[in-house]
Amino acid sequence: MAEYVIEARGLFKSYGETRAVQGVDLSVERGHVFGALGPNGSGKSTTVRMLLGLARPDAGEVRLFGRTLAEHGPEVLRRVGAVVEVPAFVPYLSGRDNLRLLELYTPGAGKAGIEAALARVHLLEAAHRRFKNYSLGMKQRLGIAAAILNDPEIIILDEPTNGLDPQGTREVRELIPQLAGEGRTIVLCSHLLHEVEQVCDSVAIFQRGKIIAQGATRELIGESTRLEVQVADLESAESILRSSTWAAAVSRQNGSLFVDGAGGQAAEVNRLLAVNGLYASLIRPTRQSLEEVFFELTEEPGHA
Amino acid sequence: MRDALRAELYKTVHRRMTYILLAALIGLVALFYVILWLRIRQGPDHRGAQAFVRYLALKEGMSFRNVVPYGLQLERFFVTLVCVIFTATMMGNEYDWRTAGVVISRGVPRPQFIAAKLIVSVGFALIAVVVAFAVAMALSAWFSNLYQLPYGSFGLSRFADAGAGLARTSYVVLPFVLMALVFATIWRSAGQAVGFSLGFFFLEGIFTGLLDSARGLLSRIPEGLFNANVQAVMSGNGTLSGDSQDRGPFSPSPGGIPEWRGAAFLLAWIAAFALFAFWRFQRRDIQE
Repeated sequence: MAEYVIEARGLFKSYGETRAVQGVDLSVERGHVFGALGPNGSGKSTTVRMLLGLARPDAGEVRLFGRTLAEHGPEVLRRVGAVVEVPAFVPYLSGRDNLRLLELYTPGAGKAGIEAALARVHLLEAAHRRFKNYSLGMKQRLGIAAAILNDPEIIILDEPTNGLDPQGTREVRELIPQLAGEGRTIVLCSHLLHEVEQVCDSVAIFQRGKIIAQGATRELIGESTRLEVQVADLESAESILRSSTWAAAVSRQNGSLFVDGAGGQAAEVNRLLAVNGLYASLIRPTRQSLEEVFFELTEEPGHA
Repeated sequence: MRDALRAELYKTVHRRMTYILLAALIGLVALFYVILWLRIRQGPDHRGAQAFVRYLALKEGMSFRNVVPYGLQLERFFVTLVCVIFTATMMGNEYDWRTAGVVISRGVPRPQFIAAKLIVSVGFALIAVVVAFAVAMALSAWFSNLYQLPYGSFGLSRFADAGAGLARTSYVVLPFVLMALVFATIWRSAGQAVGFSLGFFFLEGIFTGLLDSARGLLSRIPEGLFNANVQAVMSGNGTLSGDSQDRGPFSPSPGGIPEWRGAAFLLAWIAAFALFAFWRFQRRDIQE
């Protein structure tokens, strides 16, 4: 049976007239890499702040490791590492001293742990420099070092590749599965859909304070539910396929027809076209990207 | 709690602002004594006996014998100023830099976080009072030597008086320290916390000056605020002693409020501010 280390039920949060989060339910399985996607202002960061005890929900409950955050906050949060929005540190302290400061607040890692965390994000050489003199990329690295400092079971990373160069982005992308491979649960909030698709086992898509889709990444992008069909007479083929009961939608793109909901129906598509005198030159299942799913789900009416 | 306190001390020791504020305090106290010395060097003006008595009182204020009533009364103002800035920035910067969120999200209990700040603020106030008093002692000893002014006795009771004077001065600074903490938790910003705290510190005198001339209930309001009660407590430090029979320009004028009542009112303010700051920090979102 799946063990959920993060569970949120019926979370609501308003700021004045603005309803930031409206009834969010989410569950994250132990050891999974969970992606939170959504446009700016969709409620991702507010939800993360509620998961970390930084904002109090107006209604609903957060459970970490099966315990309610409201009652066991400090105890369960010690098992969590996080970077929320922008990496925040004391500007007049060096990178190393900032980690030392966090170690003083929540002892455990020790001097060796601090050096190991710095080494893991390739920041040892710049560790003596003051945080205020760091580039954005270095700040992100230090944020990740702080998040992994006390060997947490859950790591929450909000836009961890912001400001990183391509090399740094790749390193972070490689680091996430490594951390997950060590048995940790990762929550990754990102605008970079390709990044999420590559590393996340499961995904939640936020819009207007609600989760509009949630599930395993592979299920969400529906790997085999779409067929690409190439045929000489596209117009006739489109009209024939539209009349079928199993095709959810049929669209034309770059000289091909795309039949949604027909992943397992390749033979039936071929037969239907043939009995109508049309012969397909190609029929193959296609894979939607997470980006396509995301835009399909979050597109506002009238913006299509 | 010990961990939060160690972390807070680490930040304070490594913070340049701590030393800038202490240096500013030393400079302000020294500057005041130097200005006083420059005035004394000009000698008495010759516009009557009253002016001569005032001059004599100024000179006596500089003496080592009067360092407790005079020096502490003088430094109280500067120490309050510095401590308010210290506390407001210490708490407010945690919001400005978003570091409060980092610490709380790592499982540090909120009451421990703010209690550590309160303890360090009080500790800083004690250090500031002692440092400023040391400057006042050094300069008044120098002036006493320069003008052959009396040093006073060096008996045990003198040390006890000085100790009690330091305690009184530290005590009257605390309501302002707590007020700065409250404003920082309300506004979640160092700039606004400093502005509101210093604004209240300076404006209270103006408002109470107006209310003092009022009649009935209005005229009683200043008795419940800070200044009148601070002066009542500070009156315990004594008045200038010397030949001038003048109590000096910094002599306390408690307006008939007994010392114990002044202390009780200030304690009520300290407790109210502390409770409010803790409640506010516990209940409110760290980040929106």
